[in-house]
Amino acid sequence: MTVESVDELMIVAISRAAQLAYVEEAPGVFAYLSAADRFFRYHASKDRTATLGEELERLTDLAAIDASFSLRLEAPLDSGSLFIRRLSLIEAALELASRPGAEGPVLVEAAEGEAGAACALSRAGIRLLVPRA
Amino acid sequence: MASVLIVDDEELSRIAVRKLLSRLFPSVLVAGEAATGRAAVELALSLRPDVVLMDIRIPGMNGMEAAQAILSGPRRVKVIVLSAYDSFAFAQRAINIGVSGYLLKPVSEADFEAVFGGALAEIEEPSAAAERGRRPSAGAKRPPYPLEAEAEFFRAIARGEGEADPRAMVEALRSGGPEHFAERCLEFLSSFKRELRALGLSPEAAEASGFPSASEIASCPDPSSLEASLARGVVLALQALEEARCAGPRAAIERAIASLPLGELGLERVAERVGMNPQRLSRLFKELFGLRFVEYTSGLRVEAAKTILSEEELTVRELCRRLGWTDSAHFTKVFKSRTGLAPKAYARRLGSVRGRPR
Repeated sequence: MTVESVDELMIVAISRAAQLAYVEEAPGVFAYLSAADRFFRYHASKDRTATLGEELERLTDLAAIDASFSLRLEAPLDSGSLFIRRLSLIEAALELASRPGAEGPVLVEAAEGEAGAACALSRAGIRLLVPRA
Repeated sequence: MASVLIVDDEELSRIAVRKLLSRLFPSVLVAGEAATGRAAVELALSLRPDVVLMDIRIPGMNGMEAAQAILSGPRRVKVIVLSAYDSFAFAQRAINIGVSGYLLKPVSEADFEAVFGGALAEIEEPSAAAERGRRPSAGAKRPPYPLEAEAEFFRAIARGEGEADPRAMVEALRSGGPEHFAERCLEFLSSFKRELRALGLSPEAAEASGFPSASEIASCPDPSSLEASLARGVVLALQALEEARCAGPRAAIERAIASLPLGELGLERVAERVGMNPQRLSRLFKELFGLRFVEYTSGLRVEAAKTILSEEELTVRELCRRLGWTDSAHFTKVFKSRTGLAPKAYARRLGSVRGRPR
């Protein structure tokens, strides 16, 4: 099987499992599987760019499905119109979270800065340099 | 009362949509369900739903083609695409052909409410939309559907030997009052078909045995006549189920083949009638009949061609058209392999035997 066909099969399987959870009235399982469905669908996409807002939503989904990864979104962001390289923020967050000695949630906060610089790593977490909402 | 047709080849998806509808839009009637594009187009014409919820990847004619066919029909209908595929190309094509919304599976209640509610609002008067179809207000009470009676009825059907009591089921459906009877009948019809399918009888076979269709139920003004036809239909469907149980799958396949005109005889249509997927039918057919489906149906078509040629003078092209055979050269080859003569030569020989020129 190709990587693409495995991705497709996995997404379809998760989607079906989520539907089953809905039918069987398991809202927690439905929410979990819906987050997994959105994250893996986004991960498998061939698009090179995404809006920052979309990337942040998928980062939130990742935190919902991966118990070892936690996230704190500090402030609402005007992130809908800023395009970034797809998965760049997610990869940076995962890298940060997996550093030896890393503790506590990955922090994402809005800050005054130069628009277009998607994120910057800091000891405190990921510091986003994007305009405030 | 708005009605909806659900089109999806996966039963789980259809159940999920029914659940979304019953929770968020309890007064919307599910007029029917289809598992293929072709069946969807046919049901959209006969049931005349207000909204069609359409999956994209379905057997045969795909969801986009079916949606286009439905939207180009004479009646105004809203089509909402409901798919597991979030391809931009699909979404773009959906917009181009005029669908009203695109929902990605698994569908959340919030998304479904927004998109389906929007389509309903477009087809209804703004004031009526607020009154009908939507989630009822706290004060509005709708009698609960008799789920336990239905479950017991289905358990009795599964046990077989005439244990199911259609009268008790109809009585339970009636218990919510005459104003809810048609609505409950439609819900029961859908569940009943699903149950029959699970037990190996196709819903089409159930309908063919006299069960009232969704459109008949929806348009029936008289609850008492509906009650009688529902009870009669259930009894006949249960008889058909017993016959199918006795006769086995071979007889069910033969019945399905016999019920279709030769022009429409294909693996997909027969699979639909016997309630299994085409791949499974293809394998089962070879096991049961000792030859491939296409070989069997080619034989039927050649026999039908011989009968037609003995009665009428037709060109090979016209003959093929009547038999549902698209490639006349291939038909001639098959005909010759089975009869030793090409169709024209066969017709000429018939003419000379009867003493008339052909």
